[in-house]
Amino acid sequence: MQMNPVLTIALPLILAFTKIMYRRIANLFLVLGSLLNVLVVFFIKEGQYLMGGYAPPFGIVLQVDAYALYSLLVLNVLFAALTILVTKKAENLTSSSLIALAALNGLILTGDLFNLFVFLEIAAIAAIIIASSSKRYHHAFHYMVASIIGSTFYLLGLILLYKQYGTLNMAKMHELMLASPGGSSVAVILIFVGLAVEVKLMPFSGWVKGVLKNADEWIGPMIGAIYGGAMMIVMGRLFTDVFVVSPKVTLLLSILALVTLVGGEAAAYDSEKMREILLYSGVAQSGLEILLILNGYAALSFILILSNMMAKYVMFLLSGYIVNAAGTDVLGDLKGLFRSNPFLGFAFTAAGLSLAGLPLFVGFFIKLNILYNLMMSHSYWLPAIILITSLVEGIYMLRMILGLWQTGLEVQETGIQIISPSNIKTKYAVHAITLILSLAMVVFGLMPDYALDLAQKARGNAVADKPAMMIGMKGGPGQ
Amino acid sequence: MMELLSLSLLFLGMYGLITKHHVLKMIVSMNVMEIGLNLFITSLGYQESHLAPILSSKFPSSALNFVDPLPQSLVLTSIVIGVGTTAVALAFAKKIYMDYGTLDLEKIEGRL
Repeated sequence: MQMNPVLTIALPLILAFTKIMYRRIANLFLVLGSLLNVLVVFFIKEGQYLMGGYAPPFGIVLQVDAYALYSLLVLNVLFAALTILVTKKAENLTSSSLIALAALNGLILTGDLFNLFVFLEIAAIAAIIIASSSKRYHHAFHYMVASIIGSTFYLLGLILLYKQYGTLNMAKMHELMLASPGGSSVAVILIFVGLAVEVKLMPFSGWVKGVLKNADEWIGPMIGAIYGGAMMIVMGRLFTDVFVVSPKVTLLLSILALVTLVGGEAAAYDSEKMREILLYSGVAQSGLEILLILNGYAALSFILILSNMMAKYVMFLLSGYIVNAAGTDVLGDLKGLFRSNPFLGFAFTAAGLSLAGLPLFVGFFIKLNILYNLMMSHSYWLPAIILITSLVEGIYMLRMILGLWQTGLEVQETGIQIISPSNIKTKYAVHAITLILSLAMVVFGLMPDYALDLAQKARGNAVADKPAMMIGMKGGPGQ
Repeated sequence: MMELLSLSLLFLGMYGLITKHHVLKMIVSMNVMEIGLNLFITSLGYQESHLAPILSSKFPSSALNFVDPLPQSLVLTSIVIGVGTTAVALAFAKKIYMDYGTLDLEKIEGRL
């Protein structure tokens, strides 16, 4: 049985609008819609799907390759899990959430640059409405302003590319850019800047602090993990499969990514609040992911994006519940918290250590491969910076985790339950979902070859992918 | 000439959006910026002495010298999106005023 990928966009959209007539069962629409989407993803086959029967470059196409398929799977599963966990929080945001799901799926699937702009705008408006559910409307407004400036830059760059190459189809655009690469640098930079707002690249990430520093268990995973991951997947698609970027522009944009990496890690190191650390760490990781994308490491950037997406999802989700239970996210006030909540503590710890790239977790093998590949290409300053920033990340992540376990001599137990024992359904659901995701990070950490092979399969034939040299448990390259 | 004028309108709007702190002034700047961008896109599709891309009894063939219709259709979509974002922005303006009694974002940040 095969299903058309357009269903992952159309189904949530239909449910988002029909839900208006059935307000009493709005939550059911959200959960049903996201679960149906997961089901549909399992029946999608790779290929090119024409919309309305018009062939490219005149018609819009949906491009399903292994990259899109794996991304869709992770995104839809995480989204569905979140809707099950925080159904009540999303009660008044059912339509926005379903529209967000449709737009994010569209972003991953579309093979048309203007269609991508439309999905970007829909996704941004839905994200702004979701962010405003914290009732801090001025922060949501700031996010909106940043997002509108970003989409203006994107559209400006897009129309300049259209003027030069006469097409909006991604595959055709790539062919034409290969044939005549000169003169498109300004347009590519404009598009990069436009997307930089959404992927939280400095100096365009000013909105992130306002939205995520007070994020609850709904906004945090949604904006910090799901949205961040989806936008980075789009960035990976454009700057690996579509645009032909000149070395000078690559260097310029790489500097921006490096500033983000260093600045994000420094800000996270300086912070004493859990959610601030997570949001700045996310900014830094965005810098690293873009650095890999720009330098042609398509497979490594892809696996890093998915792994970070899952780790940040678990950590933002738990930090939301922790603030609900403890009333604060200042680390000094949360010492020993995980002693009363060992399972959730394990999930948070595994996600944090994987994010920091410590051994036994999948993040370690990803960073090891990044460093190895960079060194093999005779690049030394870049691996040095990545190594130092990873060290800084390891220090603040361990400091946070050890504090939460209170492993020092002075043993202290807060007695605070992260999830109220009376709320049995939520308790089991949160335990199950966070533990499954954390265990996935451990399993992939113990069997990295499987994860690395999947990434290689998804991105190995990517246009800009550097020769694959993957280190897993079996040892060196060429295995 | 048209391209330059529309681009200056775009950057004028962007300047207002970045430098102003009053929510309504920012929304007006946002609209100026969007109009500048839409005009720029339309001006790129325009060609001197070409016809409007509409088939009629007077111009029944697509082989005639029509201007490129794609930028115009892009602008249509862009206008619709612009209206949507303005509506959401105005809703936020109302909520911000109800919560803080002012539309000046600097004053609001100062209070927090």
